[in-house]
Amino acid sequence: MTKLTLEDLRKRRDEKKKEMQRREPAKGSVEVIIGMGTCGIAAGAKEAFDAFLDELDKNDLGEVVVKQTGCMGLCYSEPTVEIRVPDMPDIIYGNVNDKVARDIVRTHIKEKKLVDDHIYDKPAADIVG
Amino acid sequence: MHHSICDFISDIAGNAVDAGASLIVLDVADLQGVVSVSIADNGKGMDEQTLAKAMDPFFTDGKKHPRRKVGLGLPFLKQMIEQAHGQVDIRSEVDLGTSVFFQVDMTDPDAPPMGSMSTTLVSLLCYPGRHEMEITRHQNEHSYRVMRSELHEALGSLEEAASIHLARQYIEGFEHELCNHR
Repeated sequence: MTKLTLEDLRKRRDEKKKEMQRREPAKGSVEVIIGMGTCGIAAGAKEAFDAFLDELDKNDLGEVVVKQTGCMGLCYSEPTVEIRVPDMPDIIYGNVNDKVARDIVRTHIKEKKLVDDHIYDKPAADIVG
Repeated sequence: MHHSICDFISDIAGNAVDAGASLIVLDVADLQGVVSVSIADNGKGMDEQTLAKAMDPFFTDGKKHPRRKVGLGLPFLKQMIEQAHGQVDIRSEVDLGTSVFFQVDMTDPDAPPMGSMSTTLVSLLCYPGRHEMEITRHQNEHSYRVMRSELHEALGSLEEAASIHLARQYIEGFEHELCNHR
């Protein structure tokens, strides 16, 4: 494995930027928000984080914003992930393992279709109330 | 309950970010199979009474989630340390910050696995906020150090997937080299 320096990172980042600018600009940013509270971590949120990064890279979706947040109040369905895509409703997915994360990238983010069987409601009232 | 040492690191360092710290210093050392983790922050801290209660799984300060009755991060750590015969030391002072130290002998049959260090460190470095994070990793006599601000300056963003992917390659390079010195 090649060990990168900060200078390598700057160069690769500039190359990626140019490559992304060459493609058609997206209408607003797509966001993947991963619940990284105690419950999310215990249920495997970092595996989902890894899978999102890997699948977004494979699908040339480097411009997608990947954020982490605390518990969304759906501890029973962790790992939970909120997806925000322009012109689509904001969706919270639950039980997002490696496979589901990859499916969300291909189906929801790329094809603009919802992923069945993993859609949950907005955060629980004890969190947002 | 958390699965790995790395899960405890994620959870406790996440607490430091939530405590409003502007500086978080994480040190993870593996010296001859004994793993020592130190996480220090300059966040809001806790008084003695709150710190004692923080070990109770049915206690929370109610600030993060106003109607919640549980807080499991530190109780999980205490449980793991007890079962794996490790050591834990938590110190905190109001308005000065909190430091958590724990140590586990990985040869203990009840010690949890290490987990993915690269993913854990990248996830922590890319956690939203304006704080500085200094991470030092030691593997016997070898070590490396990463500053969040340096990574942010080099990548321009710590939120775009392409930047996080590069950050992961950067950390993996260091971790791969450390692995060779086990």
